[in-house]
Amino acid sequence: MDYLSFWALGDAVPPAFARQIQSTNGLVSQNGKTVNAKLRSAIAIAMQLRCQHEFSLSEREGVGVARRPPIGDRVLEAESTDLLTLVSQLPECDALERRIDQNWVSLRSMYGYDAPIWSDRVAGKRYAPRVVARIGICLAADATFAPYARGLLDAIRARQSTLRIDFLSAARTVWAWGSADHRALARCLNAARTSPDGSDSVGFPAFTALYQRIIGDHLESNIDDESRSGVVRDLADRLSVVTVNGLAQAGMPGRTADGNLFTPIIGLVAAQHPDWLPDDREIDAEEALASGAAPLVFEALAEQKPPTEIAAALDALRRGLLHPQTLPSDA
Amino acid sequence: MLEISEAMARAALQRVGALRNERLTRDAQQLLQMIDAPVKRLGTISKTPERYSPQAHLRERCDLERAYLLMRQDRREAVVEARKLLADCLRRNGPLSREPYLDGDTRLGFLSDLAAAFSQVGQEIEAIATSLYLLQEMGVPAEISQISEVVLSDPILRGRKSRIVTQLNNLSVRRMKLAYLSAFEGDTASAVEGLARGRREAEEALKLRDAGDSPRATTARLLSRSNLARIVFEQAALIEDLDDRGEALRESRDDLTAILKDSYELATIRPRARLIRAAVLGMLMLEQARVSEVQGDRPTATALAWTARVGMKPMMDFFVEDADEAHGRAIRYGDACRLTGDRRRASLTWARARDRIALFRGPDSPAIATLEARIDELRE
Repeated sequence: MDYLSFWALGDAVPPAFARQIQSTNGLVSQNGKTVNAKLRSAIAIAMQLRCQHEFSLSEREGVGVARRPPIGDRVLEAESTDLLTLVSQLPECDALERRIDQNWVSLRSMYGYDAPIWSDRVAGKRYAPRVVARIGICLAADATFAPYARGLLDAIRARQSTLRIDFLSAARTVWAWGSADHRALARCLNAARTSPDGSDSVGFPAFTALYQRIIGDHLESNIDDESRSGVVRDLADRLSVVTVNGLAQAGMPGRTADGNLFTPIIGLVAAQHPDWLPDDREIDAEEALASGAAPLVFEALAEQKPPTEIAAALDALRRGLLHPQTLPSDA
Repeated sequence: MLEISEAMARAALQRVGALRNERLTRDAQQLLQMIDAPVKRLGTISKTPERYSPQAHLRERCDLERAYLLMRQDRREAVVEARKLLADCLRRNGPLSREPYLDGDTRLGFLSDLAAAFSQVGQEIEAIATSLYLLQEMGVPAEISQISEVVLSDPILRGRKSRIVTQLNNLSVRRMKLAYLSAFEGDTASAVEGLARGRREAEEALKLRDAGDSPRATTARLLSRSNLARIVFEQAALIEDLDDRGEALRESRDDLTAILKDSYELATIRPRARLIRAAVLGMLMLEQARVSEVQGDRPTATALAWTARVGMKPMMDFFVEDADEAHGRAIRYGDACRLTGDRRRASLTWARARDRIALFRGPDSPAIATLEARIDELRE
């Protein structure tokens, strides 16, 4: 599935490009009406998962708001185990269930809910999987996250940088989407991608696709290599799981994109593929200076070496790394 | 909910922030200009958003980012424009706004970032006022000594603990920056008063930190310990009696050295943060060197100044090209150069500090005259 699916319906996309996307993902049929119906369904659920404080002034005054209030605030106050129950009570989910039973059955496989563990009909289950609510949440997350992903990729293309900075940008974009703009939906997404017994979680295809694209762009020359592609997919999927897990704290005061998403993401990449992050030191001279200077400075302050000797070493380090506009030499 | 092109702008803005964060200022600036540009734009931003809407939040975030990048340009006009943008943000959402554009948690989070931006552009008083207002809005008691007790016993405030700690830490750092300049300009009484208050805020922040052994908790505690130790050092540096000052600086040095060692041992602390703490220890050693100089012990003064110089040097190199440079560190670095016999470098460093103070505090700041006098002394 391609996370660009919903966004492709926007006016800004050339029709040929939109058709190309539609034909390569499984979300849409060749019939545009199906797409629009799914998009409407997704947006209706996303609207129901808004919090009161996300309402504009006119909405607070009752303009354009349905009589039924959204449940975002209740979601934020609820235990994570109750979130799917709350969502499943939405009339939008009843409508979605009918559509899934009729002709949207492929949504189950699209979001990975076709395995037996997700079946509502397995006898003796301790936990109700609430697959329809999960699919509804995924649809809503997909539709609302798509333009963020598109905007990020456009911005990355406009000003390219290191893989590390791309991950930082991605972490902050996901956090802006989930923790600020759609916090109840993001918390629900975390619940939707967690197994019924709460023991395990899976990634979200839109996040996986975004990470795959980011990594792929940096490893462009090797991406055709079959085994490398598999490695990229595997890492992207793991990063997607990390991201889904991080969204459990979406909207909590004091939680940041850097702490909640970026740190575990970059930690995972550095542990699994340290060779993919060498560009930091090649491109970011200040980071390189800091890494080189920190142990030297410590030796001076701990009186392990004469400071004049360290000053000369720092100068040599700086001469090799920093822009010539810096202060004159200390040596 | 944001429209498609607005959500795209929001994402592009996150990229701008990431580039700025990694000090790729020029790339960040160019990308920001492409958002809402007339052609080939990366999304749109409403100029007249509706109150409380996500569009209003996007507009404020964009203005904040614009101000951050303007203040890095090192030009008086850019700094003035940045301050105007920040003042507009405050006017729309701050304490004097009857009908703020943002509300709830979105507003609190934005005001917290706005306070940090005021501090970066040299408007420490506005930054302090914004943080105090924020604490008041969150329901934190005005009496500093009660803060940790009240916050820990109130379930609602406990949920906001991390934001409260951030404000307390930031307040203490801002008071420290102001106190250094006040003392440098000869107003020791204000400096002493500011540091005393900052110390109480830093102590409360440390009390609010989690006691666990997780890397996250340990790192956070170390940050608060470091803030507090730095304030104690700045207080020691203002003690009039030389012997007492020397003793207080020795005690403070032990604390700062222990914090530095912990910072180097913890894998979660990045080299840059380690160097910031090393620079604080360097500043303390410079103050010790000055005591030795006044006491006539020139060899000790020179030896201490050399170590101080090494401790501060990487931070001077980092921030030599933008506005984040701390005045206190720059002035002390110049002093370390002077004490180690490098008059040319001392003069250059002080001249730069003078220009930056003029840029951020205005040409009438008394610190400028003090620095001019020091530079003249070096020439003689």
